[in-house]
Parts: sequence; C-alpha cells; structure tokens
Amino acid sequence: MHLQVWPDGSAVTVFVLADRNAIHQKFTKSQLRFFPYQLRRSWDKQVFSGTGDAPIVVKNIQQMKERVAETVGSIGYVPTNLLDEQVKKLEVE
Amino acid sequence: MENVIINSKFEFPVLIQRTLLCITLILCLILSRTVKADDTIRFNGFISQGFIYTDNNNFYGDSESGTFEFSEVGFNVSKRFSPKLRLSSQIISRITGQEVDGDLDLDYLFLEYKAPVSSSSQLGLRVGRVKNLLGFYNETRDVAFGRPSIFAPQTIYFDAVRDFQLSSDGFIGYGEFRANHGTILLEAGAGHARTDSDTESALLGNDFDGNFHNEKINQARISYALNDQSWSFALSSVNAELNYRSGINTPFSSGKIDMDFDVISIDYAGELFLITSEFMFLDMDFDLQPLFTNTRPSKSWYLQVQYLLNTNWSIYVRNEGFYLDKKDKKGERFSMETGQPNHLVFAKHTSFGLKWLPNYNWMLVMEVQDINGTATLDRQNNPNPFATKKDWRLFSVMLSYRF
Repeated sequence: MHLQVWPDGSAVTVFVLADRNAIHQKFTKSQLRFFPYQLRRSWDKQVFSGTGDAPIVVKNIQQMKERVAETVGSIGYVPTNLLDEQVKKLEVE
Repeated sequence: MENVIINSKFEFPVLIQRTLLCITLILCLILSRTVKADDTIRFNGFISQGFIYTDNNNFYGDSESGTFEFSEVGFNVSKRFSPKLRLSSQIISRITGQEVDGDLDLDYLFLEYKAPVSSSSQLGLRVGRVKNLLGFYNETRDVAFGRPSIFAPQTIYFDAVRDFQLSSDGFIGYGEFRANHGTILLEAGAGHARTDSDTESALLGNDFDGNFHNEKINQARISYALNDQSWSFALSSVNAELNYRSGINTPFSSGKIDMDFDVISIDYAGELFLITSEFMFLDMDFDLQPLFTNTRPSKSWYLQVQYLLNTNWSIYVRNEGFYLDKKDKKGERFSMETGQPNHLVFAKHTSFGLKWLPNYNWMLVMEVQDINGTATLDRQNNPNPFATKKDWRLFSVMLSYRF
C-alpha cells in the first residue's frame, strides 16, 4: 500500500469504497489482509501530517468502474461477477 | 502581578475568534468541495469542541467550574505537482483556557520530493516547516482523529512546550525499505527549533526579559512495521540546543539549555484490540549561571489498550506516568530544596474512555482520568502551586467533525 508511483514514473491513483461498505470490508480483510480501521488509521496519519493522500472514496461499484476506466494508472476493486470489459483485471501475487 | 494580568482576560475575544475560525473553516469546506474535480490537490480539515470538568486544579481553563475552553480547528492542503513532488501545509488554531489564545498557527509547510530507487525502496526529502520525529503521535497530536484519546498522552506529548515539540524549520531526509516481513523507515533531519515565551515559562518558570536565539534541533527516527500492520515499532530521538541571551533584568547570564528526547514506541493493532505503549527518556541540561545549572533526567511512559466493541464503538483504558526527576520520584528532594509541594514533579494518570465513530466524519469521545500528582498541569491556569491538590479527577467530552 506504500507504492505511490508506477515503475514507469506515473502516479498511482487508488479508488476505494467507504470504510463501512461491505465490499470494502471484505476486500481489505480477504485480499489485503488488513482490518479496515488499520487502513483508515494509516491514511489519516498521511493526510494530517501532509505526507500523502488518502485513496479517493467512490459511492458504488458502478462509479468505481467508471473512475478506474477513465483515470490513467488507477486501481480499484470490484466483485468478480460484476467484472466487464470496462476495466482490466489485475492478478495479485 | 503577572498572574493578575493573565487572569484578567475576558471571554468576548475568544467568542469572536471562535466565530471567525468557524467562518474560515466553512469557507475552506466550500472551497474543498468546489475544486475536488482535480485529484492532484486535496483539502482536509477538522473542528473539535471539548468540555472539561475537574474536581480539583485547573486544566485548560477554569475547569473546576466546567469549561468549554477547548476548541481545535485545522485545515490542510496538499498539492501534488508530479508523482514525485508535493507541497503540503496545515494551519491549526487552538483555544485551551488561558494557555493558547486561538491564533492561527502554521503547523507545517513543506516541499517533499520522493523517488523510488528500486521496486522495494524509495528515498525522500522534506524541506520547510516539518513535523518533528517524536514517537507515534507527534505528527497528528492536534487532530482528534489522529490521536488515541481526547488528549494526546500528556506525559509524553507535553502541552507546556508544544510549539517546540511540534515542528521545526529545516529538513528531513528519509529512506523506506521493504523487506520480506515488513517495512523499515529511516528518517533524519536538522533545523531551527520553535520557541516562544511559553517555552521560556515552561522551562525557566518565568518569561524573563532575555530571549532564546540560535535554537538548533537534530532528530532521527527508525521505524519498522510488519506487512500486515499488526505490529509497529519505533525509536525516535530529538536533540535540541537552545541558546539564551540574557536581558538587562535577567537574573542569570547568557547560556544554553540542552534537551534530549528519546522515545521507544510499540503498537499492536489486532482485530479487536489496539495496544500502544511509549516510553520517553528526557534529559535536560541547564547552563544558565548561576540560577539554572542542574541536570534533569526525566522519565515518562504510557500503556493504552483499546477494545473495539464493534465498527462504531470502542472503549479504552490507559495508564501513564511522568517523573520530572527520575532520581527524585516522590519529589522529596525537590520539596526540601524549593519549599514547594512535592506533587509538582510527578503525575500518574489512569484514564477510561468511550469512543463513538458513527461515520467517517463524526467522532464523540468521553473520558475520565484519575490523577495523582500535578506535573502535567500548566502554571498559567494554576499560578499558586500551594493551591494545587495532589489527587484530582478530570472528566472530558469531545465532539469532532472532519472532512
């Protein structure tokens, strides 16, 4: 979660759903292996110490797909069954 | 005489200041909403209002009668010029009894350049007014959402020498290295320390007619956090040399004060529990002949355990302590030498708190502290040390909003 620049030098833009959103909670726990509050704590520290930006919060999965599709170098998450040609799937190692 | 002048402050200007601050914050909020289309510039802010009641002694104002003199407002802007270059600034205003008057205070303003040097490491440099590298919470101690309780642990994050601890004018260089199990962050910097008449009152017991000059600060911190962020550790060290130039009526000659803050920090963040503990060793060497020539090795610590009841509610308990002179924990020698009450040199706090976070923007915290000793009290609100009581309780509530 510390990476803010892609290897080619362009910025990483991260989109997330709200902290209390069930999909966000499921994704952070199962994929990132974080508790949502840990992420918020670390983003708060960055934001209020001026050392980084918190991810951009989107309203729903539809908006997530739109923003990721239109923003170069951005990442987000969507449930597999809602994936379509709008966005590319990223394999997480 | 000085105390009479301080106590004669009336409340009206505070109300005006508070109104002006609220208007400023609302303008900032509107501003942040209107320019949000651009992801390279971010605005964030917060406003907090507290209430404090103490059964004995005054904390942040006339708390024995109950006081609302505990307001904090802050606004920050961060502009990313490129993925590597950023400008960040935060302005904070606090009203805490007669101690801080609600002036706008530049918390930080720095230009940061950072660049990856490999796929697992990056180097960076911050130049300007930078936050000092002290423990886990110094960077966000004035933001209710960035500290573990209503008050940042008083025994380590002092109110008496706030400006001095908060930030300095200079630079901080850092390197972040990702290893198999965690991330190591090395930070080091130097610059000019911030001091004012409050620093002087806190360190010398009075605002004399001389002043600090050539205030140097050197600092470093090494942190390690596991990849799952469950455990984090940090060692930080801030060293300051404050040179003092005496005035005509100063009862001591020019000299200096050396201060060394060393902090050990440990944090565990689990699914249900958050445990944080910090220890601070503070050495103060006074060389202001003939009045202040002592060396003071202080020691302080806290241990906080927070239990997450559910997403919205949590409770916490904290034990903390401070000894001004670790060789004179009970203050017996201090009392014999100065004739003042022994409880002025130690403080042991036990706190219980209840935190409610109904959503991202709002937070309400209630806290009760049981305190033995008065070392964490400030002189302005308690001008007569003989009138202070050794055992006291502090009840506080704080409502905070952020955007």
